[in-house]
Amino acid sequence: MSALPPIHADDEARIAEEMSRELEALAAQSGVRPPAGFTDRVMAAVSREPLPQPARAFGVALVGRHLGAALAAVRDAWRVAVGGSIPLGVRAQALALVAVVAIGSLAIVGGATVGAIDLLTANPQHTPGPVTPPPSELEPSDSPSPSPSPSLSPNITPETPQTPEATETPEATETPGTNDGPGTATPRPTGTEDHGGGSGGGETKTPSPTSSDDHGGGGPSGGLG
Amino acid sequence: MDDGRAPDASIDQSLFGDPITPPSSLPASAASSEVIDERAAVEAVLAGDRDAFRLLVERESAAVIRTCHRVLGDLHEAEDAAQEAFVTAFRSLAGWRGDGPFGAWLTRIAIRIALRRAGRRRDVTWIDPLDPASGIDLPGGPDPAITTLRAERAAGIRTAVSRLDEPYREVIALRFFGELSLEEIAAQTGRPLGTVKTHLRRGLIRLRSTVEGGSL
Repeated sequence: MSALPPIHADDEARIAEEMSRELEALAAQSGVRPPAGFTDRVMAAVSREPLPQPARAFGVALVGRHLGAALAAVRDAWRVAVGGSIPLGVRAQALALVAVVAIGSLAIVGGATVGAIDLLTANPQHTPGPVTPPPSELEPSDSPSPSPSPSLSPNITPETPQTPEATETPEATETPGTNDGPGTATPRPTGTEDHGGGSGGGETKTPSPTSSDDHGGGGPSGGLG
Repeated sequence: MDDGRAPDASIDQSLFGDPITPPSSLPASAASSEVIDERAAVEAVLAGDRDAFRLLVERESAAVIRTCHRVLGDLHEAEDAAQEAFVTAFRSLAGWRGDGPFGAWLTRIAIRIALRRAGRRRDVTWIDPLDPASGIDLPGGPDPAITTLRAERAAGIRTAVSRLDEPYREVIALRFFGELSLEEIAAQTGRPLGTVKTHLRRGLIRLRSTVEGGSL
């Protein structure tokens, strides 16, 4: 090329035109036609390729409720995402579709697994379990507070509210009184019998609290009427 | 490389006219209906219907094989290149903007593939006088000497085109091998029309220098 003389500006038009005509003649020589079966050959090659836009095909398959086409689109999306010579935008869409489908599948499978485990393991035992522990824990907490009060206080104050029970003891004392009549007869035997035979009397259950009462104040009060 | 000069107006008629009848020279209504059909076919393929691509293959296969044959000069290799072009177009179908003919977009893909194949292979001159595709039609029968000279000349031009620098190589190949108009080349390459004209003129001058210089 260095041996060629430089091309003048005036010759540029002529040279370009000559070259153009030569190229036209060369192009005109080519009168080829596609051979028989060329279209089938191309379609066979195309059938091995993933879909050009699998994300869109996936959406169309979902709208049309074609599960097989949707699965094929996901498969093609994976091939597009990991394959070469694909435009970056299409590959990004395919990768996003694969990610969304994978996350959705994991969520569904995980939720179903957790639900199945709950159904299988917790159904017979957990129903009394969760119900009883809160009351059982509450009852002991409530019981200690009242329990000491009756246990400790009966000596002094709690006995006073239980006075109604103590009032029943005079009924026991009245029973003999009714037999013999009010007045003097009752204090005499009951005062002595309450002391010693309170346990042996017919009213054995009531005297247990009353026996202590009778000890303290029952004698003089009952005796004096 | 570019000095910003506009192409010479005197050669506009010969260079920038339509020496080869381009596919876009159809009537406007027919062309628009074809574009609509192409767009519908592409939309169907993108929606997952592979068989819709068959329409595009049947419609464009002749032009694509012809384009590849002009670049490569061998029919079998041109068929392989054309098939590769269709498969590449299928993969990249989402990238077709639809603002121009599908054939022009496909031709650019085919030109690239054919030029790459031509650049990879050894320099071979294909001479087949009995092949009607070679276009050799001499009165009185084929003269072996003339046939050889013509075939060598054609092979030299093809090789020279494939060895041109970009963007001249692409513009010349699209114009003379792909039969695209200058407007279509400008639309496909995204370059202004004036720039395409400049590239074409300078590419032709470089091509002539390469062919005449015997640097092949």
